Amino acid sequence: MASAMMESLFQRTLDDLVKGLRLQMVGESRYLAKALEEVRKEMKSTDPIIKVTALQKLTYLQMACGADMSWASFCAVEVMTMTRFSHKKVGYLAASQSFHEGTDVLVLTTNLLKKDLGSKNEYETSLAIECLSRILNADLAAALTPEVFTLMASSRSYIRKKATLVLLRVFVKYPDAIRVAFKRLVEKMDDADPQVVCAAVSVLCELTLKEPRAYLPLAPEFYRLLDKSSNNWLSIKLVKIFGALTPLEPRLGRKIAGPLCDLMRKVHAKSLLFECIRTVTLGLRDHTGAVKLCVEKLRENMDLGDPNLKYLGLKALAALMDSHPWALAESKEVIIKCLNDGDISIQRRALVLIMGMVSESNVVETVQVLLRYAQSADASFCNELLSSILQTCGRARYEIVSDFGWYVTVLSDIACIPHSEHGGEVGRQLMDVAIRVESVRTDVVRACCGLLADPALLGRPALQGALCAAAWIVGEHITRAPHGPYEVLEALLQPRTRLLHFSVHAVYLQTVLKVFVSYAISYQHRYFAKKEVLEQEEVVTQRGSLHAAVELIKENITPLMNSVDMEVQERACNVLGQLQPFEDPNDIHRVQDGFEMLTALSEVFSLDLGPVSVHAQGRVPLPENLLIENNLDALGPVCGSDDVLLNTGEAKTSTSYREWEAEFNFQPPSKENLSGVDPSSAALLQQHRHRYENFYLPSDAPVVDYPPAQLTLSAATTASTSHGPTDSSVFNENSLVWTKPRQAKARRPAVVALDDEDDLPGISTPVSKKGLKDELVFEAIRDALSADRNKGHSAADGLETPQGTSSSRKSGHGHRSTKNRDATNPRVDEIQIHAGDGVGQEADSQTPNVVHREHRRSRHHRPSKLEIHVINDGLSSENESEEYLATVVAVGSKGV
Amino acid sequence: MIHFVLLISRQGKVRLTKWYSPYTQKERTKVIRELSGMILSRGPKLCNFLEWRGLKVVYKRYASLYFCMCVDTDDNELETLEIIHHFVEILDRYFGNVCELDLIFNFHKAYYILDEVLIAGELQETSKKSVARVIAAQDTLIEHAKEQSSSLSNIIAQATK
Repeated sequence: MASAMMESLFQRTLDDLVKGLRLQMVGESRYLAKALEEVRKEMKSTDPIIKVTALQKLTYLQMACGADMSWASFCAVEVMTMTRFSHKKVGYLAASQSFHEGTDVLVLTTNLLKKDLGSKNEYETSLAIECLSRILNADLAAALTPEVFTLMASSRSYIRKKATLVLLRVFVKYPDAIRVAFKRLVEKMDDADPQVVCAAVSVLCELTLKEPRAYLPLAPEFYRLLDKSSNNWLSIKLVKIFGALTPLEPRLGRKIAGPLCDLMRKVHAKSLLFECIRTVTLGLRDHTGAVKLCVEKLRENMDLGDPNLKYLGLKALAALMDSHPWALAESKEVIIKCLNDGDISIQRRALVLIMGMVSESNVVETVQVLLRYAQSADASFCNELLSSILQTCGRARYEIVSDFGWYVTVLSDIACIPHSEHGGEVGRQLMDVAIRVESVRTDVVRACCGLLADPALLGRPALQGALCAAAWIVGEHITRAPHGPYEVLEALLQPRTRLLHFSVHAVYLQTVLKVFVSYAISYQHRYFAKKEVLEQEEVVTQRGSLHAAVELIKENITPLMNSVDMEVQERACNVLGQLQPFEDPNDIHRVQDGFEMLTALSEVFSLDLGPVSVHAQGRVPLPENLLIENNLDALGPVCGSDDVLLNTGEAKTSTSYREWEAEFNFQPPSKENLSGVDPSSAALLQQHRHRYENFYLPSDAPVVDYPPAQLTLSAATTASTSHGPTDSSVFNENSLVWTKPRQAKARRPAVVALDDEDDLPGISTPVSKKGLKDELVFEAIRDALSADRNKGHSAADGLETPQGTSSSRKSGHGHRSTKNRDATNPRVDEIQIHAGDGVGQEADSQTPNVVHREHRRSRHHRPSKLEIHVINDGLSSENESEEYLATVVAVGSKGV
Repeated sequence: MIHFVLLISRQGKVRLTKWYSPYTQKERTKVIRELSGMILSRGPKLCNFLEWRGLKVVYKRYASLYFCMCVDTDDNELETLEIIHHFVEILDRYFGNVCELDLIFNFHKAYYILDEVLIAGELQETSKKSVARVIAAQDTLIEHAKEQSSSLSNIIAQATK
């Protein structure tokens, strides 16, 4: 015992530890290690005071220095079980700081928490609740829900408030609790203590934000509370709830607009004012009066000069951007000034707004302003500016760009801005514009020549995408180069090209070949066509002559024959191979042979390339002797397991075609298989597919919303140009490539579009997925709400407008709502009808639920329907059979 | 809801952290490092909000301490600033002209006060007076217990047990 006393006398207190830590200027980590070692020793002590102090010190170390304290979790539980309040408190603090859902000692705490939750000392109960809110997992929640439920009815408001707030966590971890406690939570909105009401509303607010639809029936309650609330904290939460609810129920918006406007006019607290503005921007956009008041208030506040209000003002304006462009136009100057604010958050907000205001009429000046800012801005914001320019201008097939010559200079400017990191996107758009807009090709080529010639750009890795595209474009349209091919050759072969990435360098080499071919041919036309004699002196001496070009290429490319990259090496060899006939200008025969070869090559290069639509295959004409009707029965032997196949006749409806295909290793049959069915051919086909998998169409091709351009950046370019001759000719002859140029506005040049480009990435909105947890909570709340209907009726009365016609309306809608009513949620419909104040609105009342449902259902159904069609081929609609056909043809022509 | 509360000194030392959403120790260290870098580098006349990893960080500097709270994007920034101020005022009342040292040496008390202001990431008490009362009541409980344990007779009783 004495030793324990000694220990406790000489133990370092928390103060000592903190002081010691503050004195350590350099060797902090060593001090920390020592302190931790000490704590570890002290934890083993039997003396409670030593243990408690040690735990407290450890908690401090964890907070201040990030020390690990998971090893002490058992000790924390020990301290939590101590009877003395001061000790218990330390234990609980340690637990709530360090425990998490997966802490293994949590199982030990269940009974302890149960005991403390029921303690007579309200502060102990409070400790337990606080800790519970931090460490709750599903098991604990399941075990302790009854306790929390009881505490919500405690006679002490201090406890009621805490128990109510912790309910949110319980619901999230253990949705079953909703059935038990949701009703009581709603009752808490009428609690005598304002803090408890506040707590209940906070919880409901969090829940509502996650899944607003389920809480529509509570709207009258919220409305009543808001009406009489004098507490700003509470009002903020309520207004926020309405912000989530009004978009779902338009009539609620009409109801709330008046009070909200009053609130905005008289309130002094900015927080509440901005919450009101937010709600208006979310759900009351159709109420012109409210929106006008908002804009007025926003301008007032943004003029105050407070950066916080400026930021929030910009944010609110952004929310109005789509629906009320005039609101932005009025404050345009303030917004542009904000770009220079010096505060990155405000700058970003302003940028978003400015990009939102861009239209065809002001895009030129806006982009000029932005580019000017980009030159002076710091690197990260500069890139944000540039990327938003690129994004906005490139949106929906360059919808807002009418002057493409200007846009091309913008693109090359963007590449040249010192901080610019958007080489890839610039390159993509350059290439895109060059391919799609024929009338500006010369401008594009000029801009690209400029990019290629600038040696400074070669040293910037981020720009290589742009250079790669520039090289390809110049090579493809070399006849349009402003200063002729020789200059281009010099640019492509400058010494700094060794800084390029291999894949880009390979494109450069291919371009060199193309440029040389074009150069030699034009040379031939100029001299040999007339004279038919090789004038030696001219060839040898003149700069820009053929021989000089050959020498230039040879000199710069020869070292690349030893490149470590195979692609570069191969292309270097190819180029040099083409040059060989011209090495000796005196050997006229060889030179002429060379010209013949180059002429053939130039024909190949002169074919126009372009992107191929993903659905291009579908337009391939069907070969005459290809039978596709009634072919599916014949597939049985091909697959080698016919009885299984037949058995799946019913199953087809449920399983998807792809799955089915995968299961039976089914391949769309080739031509040979159709006519004479041979069981062994299945095995052969299988083998073939196995060996040449990459030549087969992918079995599960995802639909890309932009057709994989045949000629995008490095990889595609390399591939297409290396197989240049054969591939490109095939494409043109079979008219696989793009078709009709889109009819555009009068002065705007035509932008060629692929006809299946409707779902451009900028236009389509991704479908967000709800988390499973939220879904569970939502379901449970629906049940809870529908279970207690009586309460709902009384609540509904709160919003009902006292009109004589209301009862007749009710019955009038009665059969309507029964028709569409959703079995699990009858109350929602009903209350929506009650809440209305206009007869014409009845249709709206059902839309949210019903439409939502049907939509979902149809989405579920569609794929399987399509698959049945495909399987029963002969019966299917045109489109689908065409798609299937495409697969067949593709396999027939490509794979086998 | 509030995801976490951070108190950082001007030198980047952590003075208090409270996590209402699950973060592992590793993530916590990373978050603190990242945020203190972002916040401390910001000039004095900028706005008090940061957009960070799809959340919002609201911070305010009081003397040498930065009080930061991380909230959801649809939460009200100005309300969060008011919560911070509310907390600071309560600390100020409790410690009497609070300074950084008070919080360093009484970190547990700062936690106890925070736990009376916030729970589960939500504001639980809007009245400063009731927080003060509750804290005072708990302090007496603790003092009472301390007196008992440190009284001479108690030590003698323990030693002779």
